[in-house]
Amino acid sequence: MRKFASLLTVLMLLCTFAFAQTRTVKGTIRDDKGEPIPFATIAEAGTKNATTADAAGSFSIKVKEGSKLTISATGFNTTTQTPGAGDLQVSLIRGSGDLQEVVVTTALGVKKQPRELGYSVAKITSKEANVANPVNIQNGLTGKVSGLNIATTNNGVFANTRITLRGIRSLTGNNQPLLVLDGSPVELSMLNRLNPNDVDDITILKGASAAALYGPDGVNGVIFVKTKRGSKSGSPVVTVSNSTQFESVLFLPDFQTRFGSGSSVDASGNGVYDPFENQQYGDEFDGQVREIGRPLENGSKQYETYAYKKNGRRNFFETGVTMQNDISYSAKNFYLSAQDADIKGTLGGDKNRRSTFRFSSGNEYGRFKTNYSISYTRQQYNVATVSPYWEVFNTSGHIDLTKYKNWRVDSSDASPNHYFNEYYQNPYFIKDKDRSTGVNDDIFAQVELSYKVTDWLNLTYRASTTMKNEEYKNTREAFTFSNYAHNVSHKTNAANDIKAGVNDGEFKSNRITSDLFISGQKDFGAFSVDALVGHSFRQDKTKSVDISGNNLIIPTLFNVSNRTGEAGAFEGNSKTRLIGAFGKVSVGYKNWAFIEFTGRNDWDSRLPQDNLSFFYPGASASVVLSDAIAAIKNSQVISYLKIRGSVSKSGNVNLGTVNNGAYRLEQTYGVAAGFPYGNLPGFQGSQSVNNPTIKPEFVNSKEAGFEVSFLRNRINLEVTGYLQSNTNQILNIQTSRATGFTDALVNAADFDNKGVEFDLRLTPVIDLGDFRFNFKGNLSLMDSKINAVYQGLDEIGIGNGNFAIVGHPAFMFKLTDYKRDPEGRIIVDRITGYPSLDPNVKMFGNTMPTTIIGLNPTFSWKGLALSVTADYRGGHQVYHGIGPDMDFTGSSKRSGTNGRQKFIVPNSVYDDGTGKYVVNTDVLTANGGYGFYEATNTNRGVQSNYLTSAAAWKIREIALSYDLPASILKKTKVIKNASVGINGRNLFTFLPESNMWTDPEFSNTTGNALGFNNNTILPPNRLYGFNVVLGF
Amino acid sequence: MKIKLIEMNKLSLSIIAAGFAVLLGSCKKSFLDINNDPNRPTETSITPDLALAAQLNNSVARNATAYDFLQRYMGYWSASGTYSRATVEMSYNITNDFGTGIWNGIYYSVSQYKSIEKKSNELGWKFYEGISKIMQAHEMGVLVDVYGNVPYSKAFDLIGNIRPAYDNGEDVYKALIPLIDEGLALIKAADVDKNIASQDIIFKGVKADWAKFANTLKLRLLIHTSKTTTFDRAAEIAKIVAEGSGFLGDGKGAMSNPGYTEDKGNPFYRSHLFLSNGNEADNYNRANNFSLNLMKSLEDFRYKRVYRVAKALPKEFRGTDYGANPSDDVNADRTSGPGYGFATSTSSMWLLTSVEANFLVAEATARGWLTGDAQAVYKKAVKESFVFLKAIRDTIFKVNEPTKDSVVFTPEQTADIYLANPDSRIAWPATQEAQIAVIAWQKYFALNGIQANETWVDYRRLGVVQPPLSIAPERGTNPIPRRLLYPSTEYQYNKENAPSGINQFTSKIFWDK
Repeated sequence: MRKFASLLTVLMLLCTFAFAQTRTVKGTIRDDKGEPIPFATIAEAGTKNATTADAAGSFSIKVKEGSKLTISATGFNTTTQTPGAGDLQVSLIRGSGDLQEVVVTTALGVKKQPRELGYSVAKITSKEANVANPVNIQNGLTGKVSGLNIATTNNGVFANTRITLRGIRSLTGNNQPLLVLDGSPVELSMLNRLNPNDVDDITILKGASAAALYGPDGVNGVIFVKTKRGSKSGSPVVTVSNSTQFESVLFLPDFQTRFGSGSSVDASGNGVYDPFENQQYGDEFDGQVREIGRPLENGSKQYETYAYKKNGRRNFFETGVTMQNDISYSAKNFYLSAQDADIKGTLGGDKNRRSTFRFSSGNEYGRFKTNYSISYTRQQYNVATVSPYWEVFNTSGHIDLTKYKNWRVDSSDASPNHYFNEYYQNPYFIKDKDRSTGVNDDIFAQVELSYKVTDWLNLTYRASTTMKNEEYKNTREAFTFSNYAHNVSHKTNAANDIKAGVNDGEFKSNRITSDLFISGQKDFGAFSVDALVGHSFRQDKTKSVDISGNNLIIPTLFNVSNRTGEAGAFEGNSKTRLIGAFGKVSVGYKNWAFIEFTGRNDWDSRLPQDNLSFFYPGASASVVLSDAIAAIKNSQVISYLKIRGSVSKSGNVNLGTVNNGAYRLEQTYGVAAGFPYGNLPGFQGSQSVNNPTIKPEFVNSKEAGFEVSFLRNRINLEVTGYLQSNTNQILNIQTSRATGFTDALVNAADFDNKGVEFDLRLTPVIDLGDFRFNFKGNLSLMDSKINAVYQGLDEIGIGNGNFAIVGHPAFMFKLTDYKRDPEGRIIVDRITGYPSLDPNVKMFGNTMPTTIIGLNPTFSWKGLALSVTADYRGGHQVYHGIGPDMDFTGSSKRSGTNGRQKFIVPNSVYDDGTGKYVVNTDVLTANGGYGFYEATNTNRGVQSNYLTSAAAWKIREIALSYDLPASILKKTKVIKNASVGINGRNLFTFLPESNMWTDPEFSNTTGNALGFNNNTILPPNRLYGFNVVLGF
Repeated sequence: MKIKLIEMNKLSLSIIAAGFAVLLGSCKKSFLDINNDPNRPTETSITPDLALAAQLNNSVARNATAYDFLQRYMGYWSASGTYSRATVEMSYNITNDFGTGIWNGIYYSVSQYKSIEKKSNELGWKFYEGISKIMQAHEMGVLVDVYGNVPYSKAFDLIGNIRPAYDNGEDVYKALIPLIDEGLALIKAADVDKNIASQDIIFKGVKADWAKFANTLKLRLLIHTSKTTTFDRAAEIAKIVAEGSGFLGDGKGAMSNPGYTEDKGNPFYRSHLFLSNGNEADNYNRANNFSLNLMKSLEDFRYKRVYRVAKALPKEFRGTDYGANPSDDVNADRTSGPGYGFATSTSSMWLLTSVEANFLVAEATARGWLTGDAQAVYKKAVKESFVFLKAIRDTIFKVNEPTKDSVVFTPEQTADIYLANPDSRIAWPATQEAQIAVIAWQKYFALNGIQANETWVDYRRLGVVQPPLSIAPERGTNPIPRRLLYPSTEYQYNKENAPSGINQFTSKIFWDK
C-alpha cells in the first residue's frame, strides 16, 4: 500500500509543476451555523474553471493569482470572495429556495450532489417524517414521496404495512423495497423496531438503477435510513421529549338501524323477534322493553329496550393510548438515546411496549476513521389472537355491548353461561380467552472502518449483524359450561366446552453482512472521475421451533407438558448466503454533465449449484442544462434545469420469504395429516412443485426525467417516467389440478410496469416576512400490463380473487356475479323474483391504485408551524369480505335497503317462458329481508355486490407546533430549545358512497393479492395527541 | 462511558473477525453449497414404504366427508336448524367451485399413487406397484362418476402436458379395468416387499384380499355401466369368475386402520360424531325426515344406528326437511345427527364396505351376470347391512308396535324379521325389473351415511329411489343435479380443454341414460 501511495504523490507533484503560474486555494465552505456544506461549487470568476467541494465542505482549486472566487451551493445565496493568503473560510447564508436537497445518499452510503444523478431519489428529513409523531417511521412517509405507496393493511398495536415503490416487478414474489440501515441491508420489518427519533434522514432510491449496487434485493428500490451520529455543531445536547396520542375508531361500517334480532319471517314476510338470535332479521324496533336470551339459573330474566343503540357496538372499542418518552444525548461523533413507546390498542387489553436503545460513536485517527453503533429493541406484547369483530357484527343493534364486559363474573349476564346470544359468543370473551404474549428482542450492531489512502482514494469496510429473537406463548383459556347451560337451557353455545391449549414457540434469525469497497474521486482537468469497486457478503440464518398441546390437564398451567394426547411440534431452519462483487464508475464533465456505469455479479446459494452466478449492468447520465447552456444560465426565469436518464438490468432471486427462499429446487414431502400413527410413517408430496433448474429473474428498467426550478428556486418541478420490463420471472404458476399439482415454480411471465411521477415544490407560495406558506405535492401515475404467462396459460391466480391475466394490468379481480342476460341485466326467477348466482367467475377491475396524490402544505408564523399531509389513491377496486358477513348477520345498512319488504331487483329481467327476457316491472322477490339478503345464492355469494371503488382521500397528518422563542429560553439558562405541539393522524377519510364498509387500504395480507378485507380486520382508527420537546 | 467504548471495540472486533472469517470461507467451493433442505424429506429420500400408507389414508378419509353434500341430496342427511341455509347447495344452482374437494383430492391422490408406482417399479417392489395401480382405478372411477369426461391419459404430466386434454368418461372407465388387472397381477407376483404388512393399512399385505377388492371394484364399475351397451360385460365378468378369488362381502370389507387412537381417531367418527375433547363434531348434519320417517315406518331398526338420539330430547330420533328455514324447534340439540353404527373412535374406516360389495353381487346375480340364487344373495346383502351397523331390534322401539318385543334380538334376527315385511321395498318380487328395484331400495337404506356417492350413481342410473327435493324457495323448479361442474381452476388454467356449456342437470355422465 505504501509504495502505491508514494508513487501517486510523485505523479501529483508532476501535475503541480505543470501549472506553475497558478496558485492553489484551499478552504472550507460552511453554513451560518458553522456546519460544512458539501458539494458547493467554487468557480474562478469570469472563467470556466470550477470545482466542487467534497462532502466535508473542503475544496481545493487552482486559480490565477488575484482572481476572485464565486461560491455557490444549492439552497444558499451565492457569494464572491477574494482569497487571501491562508485557507479560505467561506460562510454561506441560507437562501430562500432551501428545499432543494443539498446532498443525497446513494448506494453504499456514498454522498452525491443531486445534479450528478441520472435517476430519481427522494430525501425525507427526520423532521418531515416525524411531524405527527408516528410510532413507526414508515407511517410518517405516506403521502410525501412520489412513487411510494405505503398501505396500512390493518389496525392494532403492530403496524401491518405494505410498502412498494413504483408498483410491482414480480407477480407472485416480493415487491417490497430493501431497507438499508446506515449502509447495511436489514429486513424491512426492522422499520417497526426503529425509534423514529433516532432517524436522521431517509433517502428513497426509487428505481432499480439507483439501487443497482445493492444486489438482488435492490430491484424494488431501497429505503436508506441514516441514523443520528452525534450533534451537528459538536456541542453536547440533551433532548427530552414526550408524545402522547389517543387512538379511537374513525368509523364503523354502515349499519341498518331499524331491525333487531331474528332469523325467520312470519306469514306476511315480516321478521320475527328472537330473543337469543345473532342475526338481525327480526321485527322493527319499537322502544319497548323485551326479554333477551334465556333466563339465568337463578330464574332472573334479561331485558333490553328494543331500540337502536347508536354506540352499542362502537363502544366495544376503547380509546387507545400511545405514549412515547424519549431521551437522547448527542455530542461530537457521539449519540446515545433511549425510547419507551407504550401502545395500548383500541381493542381492550391489546398492548405493545417497545423499548429502544441506540448508541453510536465514531473516531478519527488521522487517515483512519471508525464508526460503530449498536441498537437494541425489545417489544413486549399481549394481544388477542382471535379477532372479536365478527362477534360484534353478530350483535343486534339494540344491545349495548359494554354491558357484557365482565364475563368472568359467573352470575352476570355477560358470563358465557348466560350470554343472551345463543349462536355467537360474547366478543369480550372471544378477545380475552385467546391471547398471545411475547417478547421480541433485536440487536443491530454495525462497525465501519475507513482508511483514506490518499486524498482521492478511500477504503471502506463495513460489517453488521442483526440478531433477532422472538418468543411467544399463545394460550387458550378453558371454559366449562355450567350444568344449567348444558342440560337445562341447552344453549347452543354450551354444546362445546373449551379446553385449555397452548402454543409455545421461538423464532431466531441472524444476519451477518460484510461490505468492502474502495472508492476514488479525482479530477482530471474538466473531468471528474468517481469510481468504486467492492465485495459484499451476506448470510441469513433462521430457526424456529413451536410446540403445542391441546387438552391441558390443569387448565391454568399453560405448559405443553401439562397435556393429554400428542404434542404438536414444528421445527424449521434455514441458511442462505449471497456473495456479490460490484463496481461503478462515474465521469463528470465541468460539473454539468455526468455519466455513470455500474455492474454487479452475484453468487446466490439458493440457486442450482452449477448456475448460481449472474451479472447485471446499468448506466445513467445527467446534464444540468442550466449550467451547460448560457441562455438558460442567464435566464431570470429558469434557475435550474437538469435532464437525466438511466437504463439498467437488475437480477433477482425471488424465491419467496419462507426459509428466506432456500430449498426451492427439489420436490419436498410433508408428513400427512395424523401421521405417524404409532410406528407407521406417512409422507406425501407437496402439491406445489419446486424446480431444480430455476434461474434468476431480470428486470430491465428505463427511466428518464427532468428537474426544473423557476424564479430563484421558488418553484421546483421534478418529472420522471419509468418503464420496467419484467421477464422470465421466478413465479409459481397455477396449474390444472389434473397435473397432480396446484402450482409449479417456473421462470415465466412477461409484464411491463410503467409510470410517471411528478414532484412539485413551491417554496414559498406566500412569503410575508413572518408568515410563510410552502407547498409540496406529488403525483404518481402507474400502470402495468401482462404480456404473457407461461406456455399458453394466460392467467395466474395469486389469491384473494386477484389474477394476472394477459392483456390486463396486474392484478384483476375475478369474482362471482349474478346470472345476467346478454344485455347485462340480472335474470330473476319469474315466480320467486330471486336472482341466482352465475356459476362462472367474471373479471372485474384492477386491484392496485393507478393514481396516487400527496399534498403537503406547511404554514409558519414566527414560532408556530402548521403542517398538513393529505393523500389520494384511486383507480382501483376493493372487495369487502366483511360485506357478505354483515349481510349474513343483518347488521348491514345494505340488508335494510328495502326496509325488509319485497322488492323488484333493480335492472332485472325474467324469462317469460319462451326463452325471451322481458324487463321485470312486477315480480317482487319472495322475501326482501332474510330470504334475500341472508341467502348465499341471491345475495351473499354474489361477490360483485361487495366490490367498490377503492378511491380514498385521506387527511393523514395535521401537526401544529410552537417553538418557544429564544428570548424566553435564555432566561432559563438551562433549556436551549423547547417546542410543544398538537397533532393528529388519519383524522379524516373521504370515501365514495358505494363503499359502506371500511378503509379500502385494509387488506388481509401485506402480500401481492390486495384489496380484500375480511371480518378479522378491525375498523380504521384516528390518532390525536400532543408532544413536548425540550433541548438542554 | 469508557467501559462501553471498550465493549464496543470488542464487539466491533468480533464483527470484523466474523466478517473476515466469512470472506475467507467464501473461497471454499462448498461455501455456497448449503441448499439441502434441513426441514423436510425430498424426492430422493422418499421410498414407497414411506408414502403408501399416507395415500391410502387419504383415499379412505374421502369417504368420511367428501360426499356430505350427497348425503343431503340423497335424502340421508339434512341441515340442523342451528345453521342458516346453504342456498347454493339447496337451490341446486351450484357453482364451479361447489364440491371441488373431490376433484382436487382425487387428482392429488392419483398423482401420488403414480409416483409410488414409478418408484416401486424402479425398486422392483411389485406389491406396492400393484396397490398403486388398483387404487388409481378406484379413485378415477369415482371421479368419472362425478364429472364425466376428465383428463386422464394426458394428466399427471406437469412437464409434458401442463394443460391436459380431456378423455371421454367411457374411455377412462375402459382403461381402468385393465389397470386393475395389471395391479392384481403384480400383487400376485410380488414378494413380501419392505414393510408391506404395515404400510398396506387396508389388507395388511394379504394378496387374496386384494384380489377380492380388485374383483369387487371391477364389478362396481361394470354395474355402473348397466344401462350402456358398449361394454363387453360378459367377457369381463367371465374374467372375474375365472380369477376365482370372489368378492368382498360376508364380513370382509376394504377397511383401513393405520392405528387410530383416541387422539387421532376414525375420520368419520371425528367428523360427524365426537371430537377427541368430547365435543360434538357435527352440529350441522342431521337426519333427513325422508329417510328417518321411511325407516321408522318400515320398522327398520337401522335408523337407531345411522342416527343418534337428539341431545336435548333423550330417546327421540328427530329429523329436518332439506332446504327448510332454520328454526329453534329443529336446532342441533333437538334433532338427530349421524349415528353410532358407523364407527367408534378407534374402529376401522371403510374404503369399500362388505355391505356394498354384497349388493353389487346381488344386482349382478339378479341381472344374470353371475350365477346363483338372487334372492338368497339379496337377503345376505340386507343382513350384512344389519350386521355392519350392529342394528338390533330392542324394547325401546315403540313406533308401530308399542307393546311387542321385550326381547333383544341379534342383528341377524333383526334382519330376518325385517326381511319378512311384505312391503314392496323389502319383499323379494318375481320379475327381474322389480328385483333390481328392491335391491336398489335396500342398497339405498344400507348405504345411508356410508357411500352416498354410490347412492347418487344408483339414483342417476336406476332412478328407483326418488329422494326428496329441497324445499328452499331458491330452488325454483330445479331437479337434483346429475353431476358437478368443473372447477373454475380448469377454466382458468386449462381453458382450451375444459368443456364449455356444462349443465349440472342435463350434461350427463356416459352411463346415466
